[in-house]
Amino acid sequence: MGALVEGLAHIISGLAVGSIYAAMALGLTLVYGLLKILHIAHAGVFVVGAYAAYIAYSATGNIAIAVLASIAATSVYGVILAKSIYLPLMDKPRHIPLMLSIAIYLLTEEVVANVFGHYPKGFRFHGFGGSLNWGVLRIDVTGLTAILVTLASTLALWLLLKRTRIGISSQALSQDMETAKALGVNVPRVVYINFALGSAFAGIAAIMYGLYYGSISPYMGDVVAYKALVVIVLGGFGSVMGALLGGLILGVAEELLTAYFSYILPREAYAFIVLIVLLILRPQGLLGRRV
Amino acid sequence: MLAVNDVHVYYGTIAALRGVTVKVDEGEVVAVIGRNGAGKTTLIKAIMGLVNVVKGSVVFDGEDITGLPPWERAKLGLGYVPEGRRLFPYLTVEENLIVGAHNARSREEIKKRLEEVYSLFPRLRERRGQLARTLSGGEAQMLAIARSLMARPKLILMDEPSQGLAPIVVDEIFNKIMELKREGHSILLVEQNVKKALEVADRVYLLETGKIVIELPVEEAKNHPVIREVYLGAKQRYK
Repeated sequence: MGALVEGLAHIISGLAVGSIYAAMALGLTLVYGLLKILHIAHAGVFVVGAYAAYIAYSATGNIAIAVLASIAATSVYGVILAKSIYLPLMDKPRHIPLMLSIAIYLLTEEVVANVFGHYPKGFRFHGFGGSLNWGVLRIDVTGLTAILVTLASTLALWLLLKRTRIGISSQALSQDMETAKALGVNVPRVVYINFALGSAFAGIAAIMYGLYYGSISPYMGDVVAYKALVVIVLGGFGSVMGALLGGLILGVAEELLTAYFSYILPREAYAFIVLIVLLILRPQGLLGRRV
Repeated sequence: MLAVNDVHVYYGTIAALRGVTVKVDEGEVVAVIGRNGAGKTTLIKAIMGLVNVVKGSVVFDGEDITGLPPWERAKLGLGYVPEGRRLFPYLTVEENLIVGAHNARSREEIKKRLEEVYSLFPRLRERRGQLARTLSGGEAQMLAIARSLMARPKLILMDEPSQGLAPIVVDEIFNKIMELKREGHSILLVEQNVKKALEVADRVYLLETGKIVIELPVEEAKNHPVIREVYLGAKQRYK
């Protein structure tokens, strides 16, 4: 009984961490789907989102304002990156925007570190947190919120892509950009909307991350960035549901492997073990399409 | 309605179009015929804004559109049926059509246009919920044409609609093109299947290695010795 409860607790915290990865990966997968670019700078957007929320919350003490500030800052930053880097370089070989993307990420980290300091800052919303107790099972409120927020926003995004014209146009663009263009799809507009949305997800992920771990730092994007990359490979490039599924699976697998086998390898190594195993079994990712 | 004036297009250092001039008037069906690699697709892409025009101009409805991005050209009323269909494979038939309706203002408007297109292509109505990639070649070509009609274009650019289709299906497609012509649509058709192209066209251009070498009304084109012998495969008569 004790072992079962412990196992369940690990699964729930795995889902919580996994939903943060998933929220991050959603932004990446949107951008990858459209432009076929690995948007490494997304991790920089994540850091910007965390500090925007931190500043807004310190100034006002209002959770809603902190969330809105984070979403606003990340969407604007994402659109700026799309406009200044990705769209102008669309016709160049893919490694050129990739290199710039990495540079932008490092630059963002260092600018944030220089302005706000290199050390982590405590991050919490007062009156938010604690845990729910059901008999022997304790559930962390922050973790549970992270799971619900990610599920709800993934569902919203999925509906947007399937049910609205702009969503259908986005899908068309990601499947055949040249034809979509010639059929009247306004490419920059669709790209900006996707960047704004995807970046907002990074903002939400950053808040969840800050609350879950209790602190933020200029370098908080490092680990999350490569986890999110693992997630989109795991889920299948460009797939929204794949990003959700991949994130949750990675979170749970990591948590369980670390809980029971931490003496063999550190936590961060398990992400790649999961990835390698999956790529052997299903090279196109969980929900990816065979090209 | 459309005037392509002395257009030059290069791929790297290789000239694909070397000063092409083509005109289409309202209500006209104009065919551009020529061999593989003559530059037919490049011509369509130059009109649509998908390749860079180095020299010359494209004028549509009195407006110089040479520098406009493709989606702006679509907004002005250019419809596009790409070579090889180029459907959005993981969208359904109906979603493909909705993408085409870029200038429809409301849901009702889209519904209305869907109805029109479905009555012209009843088979697409049956297949509306299917992914485009599951269609047969002929159905896919019909969808590509229907998708362009969803924007109610003033001029439809069709790139090789017969490509890869069985002869009986080609007949079916050209019957539809004929139907569009009777409804008064203006069409610029690029085709390797010269026989079929001449059946629907009012005027014909022959494109050879990036240059227009012949321009004739269709009746004269049918009797032109080069077109007859080289492109229609008529036996050469000995004197």
